[in-house]
Amino acid sequence: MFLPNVLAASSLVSVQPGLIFWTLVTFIIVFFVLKAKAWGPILQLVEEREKQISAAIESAKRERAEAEKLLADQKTAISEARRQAAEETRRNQQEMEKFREELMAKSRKEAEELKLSARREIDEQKTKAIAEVRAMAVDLAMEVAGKLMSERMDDSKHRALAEQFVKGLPLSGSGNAGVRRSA
Amino acid sequence: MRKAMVLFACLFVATAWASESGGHGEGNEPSVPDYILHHVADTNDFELEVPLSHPIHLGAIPPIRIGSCAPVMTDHGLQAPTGWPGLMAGCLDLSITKHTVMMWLAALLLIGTILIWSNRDKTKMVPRGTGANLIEMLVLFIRDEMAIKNIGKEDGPRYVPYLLTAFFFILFMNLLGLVPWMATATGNLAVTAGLALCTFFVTQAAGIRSAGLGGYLKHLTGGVHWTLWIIMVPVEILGLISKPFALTMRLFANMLAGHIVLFFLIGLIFILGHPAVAAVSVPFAFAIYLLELFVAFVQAYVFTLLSALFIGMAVATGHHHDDHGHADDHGHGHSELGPSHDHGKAHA
Amino acid sequence: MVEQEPPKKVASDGSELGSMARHMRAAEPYVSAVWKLVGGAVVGVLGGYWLDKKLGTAPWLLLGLSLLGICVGFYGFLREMARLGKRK
Repeated sequence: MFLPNVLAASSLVSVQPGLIFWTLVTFIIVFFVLKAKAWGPILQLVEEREKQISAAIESAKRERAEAEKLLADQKTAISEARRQAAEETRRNQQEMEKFREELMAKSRKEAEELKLSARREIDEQKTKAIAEVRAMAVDLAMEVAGKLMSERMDDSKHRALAEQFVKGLPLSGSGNAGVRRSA
Repeated sequence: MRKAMVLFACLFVATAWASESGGHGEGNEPSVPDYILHHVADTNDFELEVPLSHPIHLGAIPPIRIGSCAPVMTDHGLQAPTGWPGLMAGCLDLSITKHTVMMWLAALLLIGTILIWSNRDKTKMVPRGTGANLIEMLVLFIRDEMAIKNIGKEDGPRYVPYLLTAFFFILFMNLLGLVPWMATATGNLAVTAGLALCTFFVTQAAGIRSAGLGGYLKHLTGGVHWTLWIIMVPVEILGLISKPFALTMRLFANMLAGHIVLFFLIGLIFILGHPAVAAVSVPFAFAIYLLELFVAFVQAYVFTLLSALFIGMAVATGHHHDDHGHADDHGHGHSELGPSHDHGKAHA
Repeated sequence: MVEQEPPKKVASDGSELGSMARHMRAAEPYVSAVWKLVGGAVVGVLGGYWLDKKLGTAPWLLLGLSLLGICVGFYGFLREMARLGKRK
């Protein structure tokens, strides 16, 4: 009873090279069959799928980034437009202001000029009038003096006299007429 | 599978009852250890085991032997390998044994199952159906959790088909052994040694691929002066072999131990000789059977995981050698290896 | 050698590796060093024994090769440790 047991047990731990050979052969055949028919296609499919998924995620990310960029662009464009519009308004206002000021200045200048010319005219007229009045006064004085003295006075001699007299008269009008005269 | 378990349990209960009616100790009945050892041993006799009785002989496949195979006469008949000269004497025994047939059956079942389940609409990116989903889940698991986590993102995917094949092949052999009247091929040292040899070859190929042939050989010499190579090279080779050896023993011992425990629990009924023992040992055996189902998966997983780990370490050794000034050897090795230039470039 | 360090970091970054793989890789040089120490003796003894049996020179080859194996193992171990220490 003991010996067969030992023999059987020793056959458990003995290695039959033939079986190793068959194991290797079987394994290699199974490996190549399954690699060609199952693992290869499955792994390829899985890789393909992973590639697609990662590509999809990538493209989604990219698209989102693009959309965000677009949005940001648009935002900046809008704000830029708004800023430009404000700038434009401001510039317009400024220009208008400037134009108004210019206009005002021009009109003021014109008014000033008008006033000046009017004054000049007035002065001229005044001087002319004063001169006339003087001439008239001289004539009158001479006539009066002639009548008073009832004698025919030498016209030019007496005229010079009268003029001298009139010149000595205090000016009744504006003082500056007298000043101008004396100058 | 559940049906098989129920059948299995019924079988043992029936056996227990039979033991009472039939009695025991008649002398020509096989003893329990004999029975167990006979069950797990590999022979080229095929028989249908009948509990408590002599098995029904199904016939034998004539042995196939290559080389100089004059029979060595022993007292115990012509039981291989004791009765025949071994490989050292120039005789390769290629006999188709019970475990060979089981292995082939597992291989056929595996190929059939995987091909049926992976045959799906290839234009659709998403699998449809339980089988296709299951396979894809396992494929992804082995790729992401084993290959990439142990070998690396760069080199990992290359070894996925190997790891997948090893996992499923071992799993199918383990599970087939749990079907009544079948045998566990992975409970045979030669089968596990063959599987570990596959991992060994793949590991060495990975090492050569990553370090280049020069770097690989340099690593094999252990970095000592050439006069000491006569000692150092065997040491390094032994070191390389120790890993697949561990794989071999682990798978073999686990698969065998479970079966022996299972049978021994049932055998307890006959050893103690009372049917009441069945009330305890049959539930225990059933629990062990469930455990064995779990172990079948775990051992396939562990074998694959360790294979991935070893491949990863071989790849890392190659990388590590690159960094220590063997760049010239590296480049040279790659030019010999041909289609693996991409790898070298990743380093440069 | 020093300037080759950065590419190594890039090539085998290892962030995707599991913790077991990382630890095994970290331990591998030490395991290999210890194995050199032990394996040298083992190879010396076994090789000597086998050669003695083959050539009928017992026990000289066993003694000689064992001694050689132990020495080579020790030498290999020290060398490896020195290299590891330098790398650190």
